[in-house]
Amino acid sequence: MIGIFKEAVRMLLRRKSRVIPALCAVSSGIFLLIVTASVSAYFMELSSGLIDSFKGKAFLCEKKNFWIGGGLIPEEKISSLRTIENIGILIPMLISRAEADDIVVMGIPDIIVGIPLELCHFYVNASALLEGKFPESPDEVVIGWDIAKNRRLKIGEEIELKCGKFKVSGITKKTSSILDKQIIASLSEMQRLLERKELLTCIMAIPSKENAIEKISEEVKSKTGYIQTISSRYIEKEIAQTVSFWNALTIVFFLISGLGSLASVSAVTAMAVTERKIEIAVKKAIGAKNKDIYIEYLSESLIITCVAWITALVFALAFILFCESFPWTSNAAVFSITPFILFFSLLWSVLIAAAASYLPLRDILSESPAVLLRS
Amino acid sequence: MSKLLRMEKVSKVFKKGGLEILALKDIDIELFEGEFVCITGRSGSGKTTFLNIAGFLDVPTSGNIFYLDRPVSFSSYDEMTEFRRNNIGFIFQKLYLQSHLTAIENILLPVRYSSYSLSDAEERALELLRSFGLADRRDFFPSELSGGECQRIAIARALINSPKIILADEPTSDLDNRTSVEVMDILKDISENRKASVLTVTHDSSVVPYGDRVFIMDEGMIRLA
Repeated sequence: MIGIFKEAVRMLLRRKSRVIPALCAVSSGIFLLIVTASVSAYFMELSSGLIDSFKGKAFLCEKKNFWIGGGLIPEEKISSLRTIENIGILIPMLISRAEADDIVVMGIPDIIVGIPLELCHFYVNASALLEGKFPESPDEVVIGWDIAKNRRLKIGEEIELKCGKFKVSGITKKTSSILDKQIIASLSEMQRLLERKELLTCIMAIPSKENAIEKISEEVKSKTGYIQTISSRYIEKEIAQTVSFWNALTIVFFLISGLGSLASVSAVTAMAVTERKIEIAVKKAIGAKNKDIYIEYLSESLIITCVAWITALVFALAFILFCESFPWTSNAAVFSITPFILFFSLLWSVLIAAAASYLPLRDILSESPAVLLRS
Repeated sequence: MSKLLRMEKVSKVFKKGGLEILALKDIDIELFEGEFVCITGRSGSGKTTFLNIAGFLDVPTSGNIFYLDRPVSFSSYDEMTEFRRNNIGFIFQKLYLQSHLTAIENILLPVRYSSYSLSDAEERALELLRSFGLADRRDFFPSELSGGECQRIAIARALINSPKIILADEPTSDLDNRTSVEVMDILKDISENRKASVLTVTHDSSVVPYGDRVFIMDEGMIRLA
């Protein structure tokens, strides 16, 4: 077997002018496969993150609370909400980007959440602190696990954001949810720094009766009019839609990568077989059996595919590192080449190469050498 | 001389679309051991089709073929290939040397697919190269050889498995007069000294005198000249 591969390598090296373009084409196909597969994996990660959040890892979807939001809410609205029966704890919040002044929707990494300091522990809820303490003064903040890791911050150190400098008083435990990418700061301080005095972006409500969430949220809606309530059922629906979207996107990317690599690898391999029809005919005429020719072509295809796979992998790694060098990806989930992608891309490429060389060969080898030479 | 190959009422019909083309019609011919047979005829008279069937590259539509007086029939292409590999050597009109192989590798190509030892065959290939005056060309690629040298390499490739029959299709078609004579001398020598029968088809009249017997092929039919 080693002898066959050695011979195939020798023959391929002799045909550099034909092999190099084939290698480039096959590499491009596999490169496309690896990169799109890692993008798909990224989508899957996002999707599974959302599912995990929904399963209760994140405070957002614990089914114990609901959110009141929709534009900027005057802080005075809180008092009217307190009259609702079983409304429980109300946490007024001002959410903003950590590195920009504008107000953002939840889910964007690295957000800063202004909360009255005495309510921080309700907000962090089950996740609790990994170390340190909740903020006790306006210049103190609690940072998420990812932020602490990415910025290499420890308790007592300073975190510099666009809106100002803060002292890290605590770090939350890893939750694999958006809480890991949040900074919890004093509401009044955030309102001052962002010039949004007595304004909120949302209110989180933790009713005193868990089973009354839907009813209470409806009551909030009817009392406040223009304010939208976001209950667990709403979030469940939203997440289901988002997850389906990511899953669809993942399937599309897998299809693109699969078909792209299929097209390039099979076109090159099939072309090589067709171009070498006469060579095959002569080999048959002088005594090569179909099995001999299958082995020769299959070993050549396998070698080209494996070399192309290594080349594509190197380029894909370089491409991913290049993408990660951009600031917009620094705190987001990164594209990564997982062991599954490595195994899948190699297996897929080898299977395509084998099938692509087998199918045209089968047609050619079913003919007599005389017919092939005549053609 | 023993009878090596015999064709009896061999016909070949090619079908294309609804059209049937009769390429060979009731061919009866015998080939004896060590004999040099020439078949001449115009282009399109069926010479190459005849050679393909005589060399078991193709199968006749009807008729029988006997090898050493035994009828030959194959259940598969692979069986036919094995028979061809052991008994027939081909010299193609366009030579079909593999451009990525050196002279000696081209000669040894049929051995790669046989059960013969490659090291023994290499000795034999070197001997053939020496006898054809190409010993110093063993590592040359076809593109580095002249037309006559390539023709001799093709002949050596046909001889490497020591076949009993050598089939040559227009062996002098692309050669000048002097090289043609050299090549024909080699083929004549093969039939006389290596005890292999040579069956050559050609439209080159200068080849005809080399034949022990000469046949003329016309519109798929064969007759002794």
